[in-house]
Amino acid sequence: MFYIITKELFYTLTAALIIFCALELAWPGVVLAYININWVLIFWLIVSIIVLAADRVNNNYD
Amino acid sequence: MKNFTVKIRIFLWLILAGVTGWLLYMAAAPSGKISYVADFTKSSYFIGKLTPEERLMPIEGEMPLSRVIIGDPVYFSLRTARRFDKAKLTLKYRQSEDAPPIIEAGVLADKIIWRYDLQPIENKIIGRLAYVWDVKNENGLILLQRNDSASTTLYGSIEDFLNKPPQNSEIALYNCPLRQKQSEASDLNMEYLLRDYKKSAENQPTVPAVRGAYQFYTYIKDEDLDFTFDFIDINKNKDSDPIDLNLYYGNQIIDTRHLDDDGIANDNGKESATRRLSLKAANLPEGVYKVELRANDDVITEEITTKQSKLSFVAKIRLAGAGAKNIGLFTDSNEISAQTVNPGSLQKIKIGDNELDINQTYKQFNIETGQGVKEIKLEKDDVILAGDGVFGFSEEALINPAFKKVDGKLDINSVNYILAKYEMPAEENGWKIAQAEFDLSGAYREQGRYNFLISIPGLRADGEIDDWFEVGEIRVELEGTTLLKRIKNIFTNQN
Repeated sequence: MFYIITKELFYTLTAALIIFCALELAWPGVVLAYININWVLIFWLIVSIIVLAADRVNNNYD
Repeated sequence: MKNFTVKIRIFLWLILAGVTGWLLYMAAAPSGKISYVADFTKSSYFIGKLTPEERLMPIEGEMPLSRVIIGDPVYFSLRTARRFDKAKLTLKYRQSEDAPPIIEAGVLADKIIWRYDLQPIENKIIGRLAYVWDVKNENGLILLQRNDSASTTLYGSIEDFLNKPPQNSEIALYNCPLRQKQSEASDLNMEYLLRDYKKSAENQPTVPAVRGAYQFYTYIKDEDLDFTFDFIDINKNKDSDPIDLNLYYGNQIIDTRHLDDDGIANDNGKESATRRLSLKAANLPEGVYKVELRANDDVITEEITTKQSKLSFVAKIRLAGAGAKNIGLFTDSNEISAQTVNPGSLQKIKIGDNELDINQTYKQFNIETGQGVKEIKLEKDDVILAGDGVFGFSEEALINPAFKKVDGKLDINSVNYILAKYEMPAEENGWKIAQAEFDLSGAYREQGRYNFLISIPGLRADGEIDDWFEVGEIRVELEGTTLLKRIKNIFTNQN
């Protein structure tokens, strides 16, 4: 279940990053006024690592 | 398991949709209203830091709850995602006992001539006089009348005052735009007329070369307005250098002229040929007219040819570096400042009986010279002169239609009436709270930012007096067109 949640979170954060960057390019300041995209990127990276680790454990690659 | 995955997915995507929708809502401000606050406990994205840092008390240790201003003026920017029409600025502040009496805030209206639309925050002179003089409040206007003199007529209302005003010399104004009698939108039913004025048949002596933007007053009576300007473009800045000439009567533009850039919109330093612009108008009613030149510092007015006998530059004049020697000017300014950016123009300027030593470039030197007209003698040109009055190249050319202004220089004994558009600040827990409203529809906005300033004339970071002005909070309430109206405007092809 943990793997499913993190994987879904990863998809959502990926979409969030794309949407936020696109919004910021189209309308400067609309996102950065309230959300620091750097933190979203860091959170996305952490979730990505967790997803990869959980995937490795789930599928028992070793 | 698949059901659970779908639920989680829907939940997370709904959150993302909600956040995105909220961000768009906040940026679009569909109601047309939004407010931003900076209380200095943390940095605000919308309201920028107060600058320059040299005019603020240094921060020691943790982030302070307020910022202390020690020099005038300080600036801050307001970042908005869209344009707004109006801004209501609320300042929470306190100040030292010996702080200067006038505090104003402004928004940058014109970047070419660096004109700020200033609005009052506090005027201590009016505040103090309100305790001892007779006070009338009507429609945002306040009339103070001296009541300790038998010779002073006390008016029953501001309307009476405006309908039958006393002599101009008895009145001081504050934040009250003077409009002349002939103007349709007349606030004050007064006009400035010269009884002994005689028109000139000859061309007036040539004015030395002047650099950049300027404004001057002239006077017309039974004659045509006739000015010819010769310009050159020195192309030292990267921008293009268009020239706009505006003729004002009673605060309204009545005629304009335009000259495009010389075709060189870069900084190659190549001087253009002399280009001429004429400003002529016939059948004008008697009165004071103002001519405004809007141009950047690449534009040099080599010559102004006119028969008009009155020609007084308002508040500031920048003499171009044309190599002129021994220049004489006249001014009625009390406080005069001088500055040069050219090491070759460092000099001692004689102002009446005083001397102002300009011994450093890029530094503004100030001197208080007292009331009355005095002569300024410069050895060399390429100097920026500024003052609280007008500058002319002969004593006869001076004309200053401005009413006395209620500022730190006003001799209270010389006036009997003060008319102001002003509201006293409120007090709350040892802090004062004042509001100022600005029209943003014509304000300058660059990269989503409006530029504001807080002006406290007389507050000097390098001064001997240990005075200060502490800002506790800056709040800006913005108002503009609603989203619905904007959409309607798109479909009806309106702006």
